[in-house]
Amino acid sequence: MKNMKKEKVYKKPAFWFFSIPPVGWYGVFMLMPLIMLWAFSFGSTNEQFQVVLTWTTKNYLTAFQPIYLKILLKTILFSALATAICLVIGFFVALYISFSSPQWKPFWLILVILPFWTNLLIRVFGVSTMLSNSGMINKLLEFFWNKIKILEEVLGWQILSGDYFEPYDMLYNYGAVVAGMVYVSLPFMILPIYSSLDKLDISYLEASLDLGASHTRTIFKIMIPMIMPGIGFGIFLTFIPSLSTFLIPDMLGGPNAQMIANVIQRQFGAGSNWPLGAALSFILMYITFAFFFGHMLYGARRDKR
Amino acid sequence: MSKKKRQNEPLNYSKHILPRLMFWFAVIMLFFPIISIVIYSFNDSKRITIWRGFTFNNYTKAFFDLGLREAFINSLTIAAASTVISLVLGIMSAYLLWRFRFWGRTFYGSMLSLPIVVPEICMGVSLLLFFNKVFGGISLGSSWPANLILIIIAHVTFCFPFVSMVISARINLYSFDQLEAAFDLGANEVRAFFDVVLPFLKPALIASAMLAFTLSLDDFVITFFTSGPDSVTFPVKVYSMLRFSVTPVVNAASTILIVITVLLTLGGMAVQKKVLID
Amino acid sequence: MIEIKNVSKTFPNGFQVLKNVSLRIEKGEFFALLGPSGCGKTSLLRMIAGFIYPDEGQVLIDGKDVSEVAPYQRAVNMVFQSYAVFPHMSVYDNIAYGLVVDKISKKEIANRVTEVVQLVQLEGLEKSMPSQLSGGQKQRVAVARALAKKPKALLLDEPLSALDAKLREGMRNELVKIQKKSAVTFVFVTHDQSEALSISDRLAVMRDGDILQVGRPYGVYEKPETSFVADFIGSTNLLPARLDDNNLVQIDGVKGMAWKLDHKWPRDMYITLRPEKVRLMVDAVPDKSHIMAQGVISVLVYLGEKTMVEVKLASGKIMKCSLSEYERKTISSLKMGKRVWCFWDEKDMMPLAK
Repeated sequence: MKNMKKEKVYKKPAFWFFSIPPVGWYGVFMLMPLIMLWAFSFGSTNEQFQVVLTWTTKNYLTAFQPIYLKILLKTILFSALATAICLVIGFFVALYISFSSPQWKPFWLILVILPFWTNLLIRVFGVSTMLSNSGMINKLLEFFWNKIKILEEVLGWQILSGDYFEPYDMLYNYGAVVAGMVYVSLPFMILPIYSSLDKLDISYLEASLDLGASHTRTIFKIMIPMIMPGIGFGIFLTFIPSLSTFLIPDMLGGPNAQMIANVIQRQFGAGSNWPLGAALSFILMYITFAFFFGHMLYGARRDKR
Repeated sequence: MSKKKRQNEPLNYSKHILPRLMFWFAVIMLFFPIISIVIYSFNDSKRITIWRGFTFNNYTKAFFDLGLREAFINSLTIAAASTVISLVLGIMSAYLLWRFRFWGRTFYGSMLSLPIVVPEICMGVSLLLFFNKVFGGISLGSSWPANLILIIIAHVTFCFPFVSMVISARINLYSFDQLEAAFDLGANEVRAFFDVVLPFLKPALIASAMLAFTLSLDDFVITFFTSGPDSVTFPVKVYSMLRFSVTPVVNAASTILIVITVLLTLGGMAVQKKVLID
Repeated sequence: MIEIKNVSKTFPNGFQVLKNVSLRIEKGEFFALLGPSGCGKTSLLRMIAGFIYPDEGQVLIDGKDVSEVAPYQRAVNMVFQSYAVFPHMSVYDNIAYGLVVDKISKKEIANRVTEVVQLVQLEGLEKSMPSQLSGGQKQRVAVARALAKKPKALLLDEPLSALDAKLREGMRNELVKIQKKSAVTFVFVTHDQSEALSISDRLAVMRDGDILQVGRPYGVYEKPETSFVADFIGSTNLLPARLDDNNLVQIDGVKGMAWKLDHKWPRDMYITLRPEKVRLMVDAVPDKSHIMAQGVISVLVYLGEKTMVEVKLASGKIMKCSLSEYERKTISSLKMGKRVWCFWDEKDMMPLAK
């Protein structure tokens, strides 16, 4: 039966009926644009401001100029930082949820997933209002600042300088970008860690404690190695999207704290250097693919053991 | 014997201080920005972060803002159209992969996961480039809904592979014997598909339709690159409003979108639950 | 020595697993906690290990109150039902895991590991990963890992239940050998009464969070104190009985009874009689010195080393009777529906309060 299917498949009209629309759509609207973009990355602009395919590597060389390279490295660095923060918070949150009593568990999970249902743009907008000079965090700080001021008068000490509270500039720097990435990615770190923690047989942890290991040792030597698939997947789901995040640095970072995606966007907008933008896009894509395959290889090697 | 206060048993990490603290910190952190948007949508002030009393004015303003309303209708139209097209293409794609063994099958199957790995920004600029170079000379018309076609194409392109994957997961549970039984009873390929395969896929169809609809409604980056000045979706409109003047009207508009997505997701979950029970 | 003093425990869901339980386990004993599932035996074991803390009462190890001492600070170690052999560590690392924590020198650790590896006969497998081991080997690793810590007691939670029947019997004898050689107190949880009888020095029978009876296997088997114990340990015939005004035991349809009990026994009671104590006679009447009852064979099951017969007595009561292969051969015409005499002696019966 299996062999027959293969031999006669091209003669069946049904095969063509089911294959042409999706494969055609995919080829035309997914692959073609990517191939064009790839070709553009080897093009250059002529006198008529038109892009011609000259097979030049100039765009890639430009992309590795210090200005772009610096942003690229910062993109990787701050994505990694956001991932690390997510990992620490996400691990404990997942730990809390998976050890909660069965009647609370689904509720806690929904609580963590709920924010993810709102539009990304709105979530980032929310973070930006929080961090702004007149935002919630500064208001909270002002409240405490004023309380300390009153305390100062009572005690007659000088703790804080200045007569009025000066709001902290928390927006438009890389700190805000990292905060935004943590905010957006946290559920993606929590869920995979939770699901592998939930599958972990408690006996392993008990055995470790029973053999005299402290909680810290049990967590690092037994729990974490055993939930590594979940942690790896969480890192993957946090780090890879962070690398190419556009909206977060656009709204929270401003011109001072850009990521690679903003540079790409500028080449297709105001900068209008499409070949360079194409080259940067492909560099970003290669980096993404490298991490993707790295993750897959790591997973395959771990499963083989 | 009097009952002492007992300390927590050793292996209940939900009672340990650090996980507990982190959990509540995370929950507060996750909800605070969203809740503050909602609260300030009732703010009677021109500035969004200075509280000047309670009002519904922002909602009336948002409702009577022509641009916002148009963008909202655009978003719904695009989401509906791309859901339908994605569903058709996704079903075909999943059925193709399940039913036929053909040259390049594995390649096509793995290429379908490309939209997960390819960064949104790269997909956005590639489509921008493609539309500009290929459709650049051809006018698709600026009148509604022709002006939305490019955005719909873009949305279908990243939605239908997801639809295909969700349906594949379901169709792989289907026994080939049933299809062969249908052939044996005299059905042709098309009849067999509609009569026996499609009904089996119903739960997956609903799930993937919901997925496609929310993906389309939520998308900002790809739409941002493929929309023109006369074809703006709700998120893109909100984005440009944020760029120019940040007033509580934006909060009101955002709140409406939050409520719609939450209702859609809850409704979808309820429908899915019902279908699964049936 | 482990002492449990008036321990009670209620789970957060409101289920009371232990009800005022007291128990003393002596040094060097092989002690079994026996009972059906849900009787609280595993909870009691986990309480000794330190995974659950008692609501009331105390757990003492060598006279020290450890009721709320964390498991990693207790000198007892556990062998888990699922073995819980760490899958990402080699056999050696698994066994050394508990020793590394104790900050013992590398050389000493190696010595100790070698010692227990020999004790459980795992020589040559030190470098293997758990995924390469059989169920029985994993079990040995779990035992070795716990014994390497030189615990005051080794706690075993249904250690044989995950093994197949053939392996189980071998491992059972192996555990007894290991216990005798190491001279460590073993506390063993099981729901299998034959397992408990065959390997323990003493055992406790539990039900619904209570300890019903503690004693040596022979004593518990021969002199059950409650009908539950009588029925749970081995199989038994429970016959409803009455004490008449002269304190003589009367059972419906049973002849030849002249058994006098003291007045402490209630009027309505049970008599327990082990099936292997009941003998059968076909086509003849037993000697008058026996106690006897007549009935019809309703079930006849040949089990190889023995034959189970169920006789429906005239009173309607079923009498179970276990015949050894030798006994079966002496009775020629054993058939379903045949009228037979069941007979036994007075000393074979045990009175039980209702």
